[in-house]
Amino acid sequence: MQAASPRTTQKKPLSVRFKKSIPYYLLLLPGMLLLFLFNYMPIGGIVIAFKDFSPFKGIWGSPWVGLKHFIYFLTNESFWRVMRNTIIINFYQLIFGFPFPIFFALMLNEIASNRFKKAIQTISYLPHFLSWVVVASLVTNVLSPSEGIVNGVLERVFGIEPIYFLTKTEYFRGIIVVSAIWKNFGMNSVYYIASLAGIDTELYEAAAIDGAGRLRQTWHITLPGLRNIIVVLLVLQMGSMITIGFEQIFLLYNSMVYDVGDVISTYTYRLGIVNTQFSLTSAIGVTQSVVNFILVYSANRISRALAGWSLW
Amino acid sequence: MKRSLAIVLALLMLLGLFAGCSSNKGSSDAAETKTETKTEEKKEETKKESVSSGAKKEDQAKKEETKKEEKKEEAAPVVDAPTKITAFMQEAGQTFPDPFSHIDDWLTKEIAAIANIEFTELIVPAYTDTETKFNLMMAGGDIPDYIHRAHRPDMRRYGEEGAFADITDIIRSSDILSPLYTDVQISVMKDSSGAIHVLDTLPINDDYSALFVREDLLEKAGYTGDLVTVDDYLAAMRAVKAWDPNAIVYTCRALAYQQWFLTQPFNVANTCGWAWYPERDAYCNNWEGDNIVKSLEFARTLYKEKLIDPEFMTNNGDDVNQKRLKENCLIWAQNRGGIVARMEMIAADGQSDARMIPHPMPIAEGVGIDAYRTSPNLYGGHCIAFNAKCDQEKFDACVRLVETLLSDEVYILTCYGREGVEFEWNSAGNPTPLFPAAKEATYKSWLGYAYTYNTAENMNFNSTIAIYANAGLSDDEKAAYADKFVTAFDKIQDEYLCSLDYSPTIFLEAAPDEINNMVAECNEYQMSMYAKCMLGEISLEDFVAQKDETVAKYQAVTDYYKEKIDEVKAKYDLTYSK
Repeated sequence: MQAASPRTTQKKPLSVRFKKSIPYYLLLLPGMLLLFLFNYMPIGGIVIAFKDFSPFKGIWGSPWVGLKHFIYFLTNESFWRVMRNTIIINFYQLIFGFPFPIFFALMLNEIASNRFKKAIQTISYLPHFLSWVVVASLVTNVLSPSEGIVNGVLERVFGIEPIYFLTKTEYFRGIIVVSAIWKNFGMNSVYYIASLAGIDTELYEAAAIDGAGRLRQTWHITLPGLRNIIVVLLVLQMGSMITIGFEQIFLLYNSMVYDVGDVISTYTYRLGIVNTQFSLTSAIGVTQSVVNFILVYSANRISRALAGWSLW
Repeated sequence: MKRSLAIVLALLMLLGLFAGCSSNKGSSDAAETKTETKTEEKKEETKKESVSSGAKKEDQAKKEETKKEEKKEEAAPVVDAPTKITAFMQEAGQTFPDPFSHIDDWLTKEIAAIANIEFTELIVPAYTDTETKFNLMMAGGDIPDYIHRAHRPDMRRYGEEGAFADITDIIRSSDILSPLYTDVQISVMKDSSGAIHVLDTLPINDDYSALFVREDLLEKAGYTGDLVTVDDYLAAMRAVKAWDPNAIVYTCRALAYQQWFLTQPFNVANTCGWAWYPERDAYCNNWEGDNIVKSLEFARTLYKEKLIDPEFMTNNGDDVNQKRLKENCLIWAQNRGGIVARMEMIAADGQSDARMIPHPMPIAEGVGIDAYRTSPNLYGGHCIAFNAKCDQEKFDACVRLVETLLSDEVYILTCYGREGVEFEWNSAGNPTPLFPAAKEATYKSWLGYAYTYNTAENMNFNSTIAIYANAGLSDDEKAAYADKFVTAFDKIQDEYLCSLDYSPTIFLEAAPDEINNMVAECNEYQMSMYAKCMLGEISLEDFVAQKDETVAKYQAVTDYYKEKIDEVKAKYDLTYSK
């Protein structure tokens, strides 16, 4: 029997391949430009962290001060307070906020009625499209000691005196984490729902024939199917462990909860925008980026070591 | 098909990307609209006699009186074509009609025509966004031709760093500006290089804060006592609370605004930070001494008895306004200009019987007398500057705009409006509002761009408009209310300003960043501790235990300012004899 000759595929020249892919390159172009304009071009501006920058003297005309700004904030107790708060709030968001969309996506996946599933999905997305100004206003109203629904229930059902939640240090971080979860879990679950759609349904059928129940199927088929996207999102979240959104905190905090609520972004806003200390805030920003990079890199390495899969 | 669709999509995305990179001169935002204003004919000479601004220094006031007898002079030199300029203005938290375009407003156009300029961009951010907007513009080197803004130390620093044009010569050479600025003011405006880069607005001492008390609520609650001492106020507040248990008798925006009633009766300027205390002839941390503890005891009483809004810590500006309007709020701590706008609001809300009468701040016994007394201002607190990159034509246009704003003709326009439209002169030579145009034009903002604050004349006129536009009052009631309001304010003004020279704090230059950061840190900590103690999170004993420690911790700031103040006192020969 004559052996089948191996199919030899000759690689097409680069120019041909390029021509064929022009539409894709064009689609890529705006994104690349955006990345270059707003992420790479400003990198040179990092140098102002080492200068006493004045916009009117310009970057090169401003005097060089070396590590002065880094030393200042690293030896300043306020900075360590906001650093601590940022890490703690982010840690809470990682522990409670990260798994929430996964659970939600898994639960949604189990719903048989397509119409009901879509309705739930749409409702869960909605808060994501509200600005933090609106959400903060809702949170303030819901938690109001005089007219808020939470205090209304606590008072009428449990006979508890109204609590001014937003001024209590013991509740503030919880409020931040819960409101962030409520606002974003619907949208974050989209990634998982999309991944779930890609899992081969024959795997479930085979598992069912083998006697696996719903939980077993979830554990042995669904979760492994989501593994890659979970790792990607976890690594990305690790990359912002010492960064936290400005608006949410700024709109909800007050002087009663500075101890637990003041974070790096609100601190740098006051220093940079209000007090116009651009060099100092740049130094803080550079430090944040370095730490975030180390965290992303570490998370990726850990993922590769433990799960056998990593982002790069 | 796929290829062409991809190209179209990519082009659309690229367009979207670069749309954000276009010049901001194309902005169509209501507050920053670019419009093509037509060249208007130069205004005819106003025949009406001018009135004294009543807002300038005493020697200037005499000059103004003389001017009353003279015919109006031209405000600005004539040039052929209007010069196009961009401008940034800081407004004072006014309520503007909705929608409102600053650049298209009749008053803007009138002023532009008189100055023979054309605004190609007029940026007037919302009051609370001004600082962010301005600092970001400056950081990006996007400097408008003409700038009017608060934060004098920052403006002076920007000027010294080369952002603003040298205007030393124009003050002396301008016929309009030179009589308005004294030698001391000119000396103070010079920076370390000896040049003037920012022009301080002229001082006005009329628009100060007071307590506005709803007398109609006192009547309804059956309170007939005096309102002089702190105990009187407590009794009145309790009476209103007893009459309406849901009333929010007093409210404020956290401990940052309208909170003066908590501290100033106890000779403490604020809940945090530092202030000049004339009686002690010293710049002190507000937590020095025992007065802050007395203030806290009072604040705790208010909170415990729900005489203060229990949610004051999370209030924003709108919350405060709404609660004051809707919740039978007895005491409104506010500046006079602000209260006039709210008089209109409360009448428009259907509460035509609401009557707000100004009262001086009460003084508790044994606390001293100087905290709420202020020295006359040396300057208005805002600054005017021109972009250093302005060419000669634009520079001249900016000068014309300043001169126009400070001219008598524009003073009348900004104070009363257009003769025959918003007002008319009565037989006694006083301005009388013409309705409804007068009511619709009470937002007039350009007076604030010239002087920073409102003048007594302007506020009397606007309060008269607010009262006379109230359809729920009879003519006699209107007359009685207007008379009582103005008389009460005049009385406070007489008692309010003590006979001190200028406060030395207004001569101070911007402090180094390290000092500013310590001040910010101390303010945050003190405000937090005061609030926690007021709301019962920590005990008064704990507060007292930490008080002196805090003062000592930030002694470096106190010492820094003491040293600087000694320097300016010696430099300007300031003495305090009261």
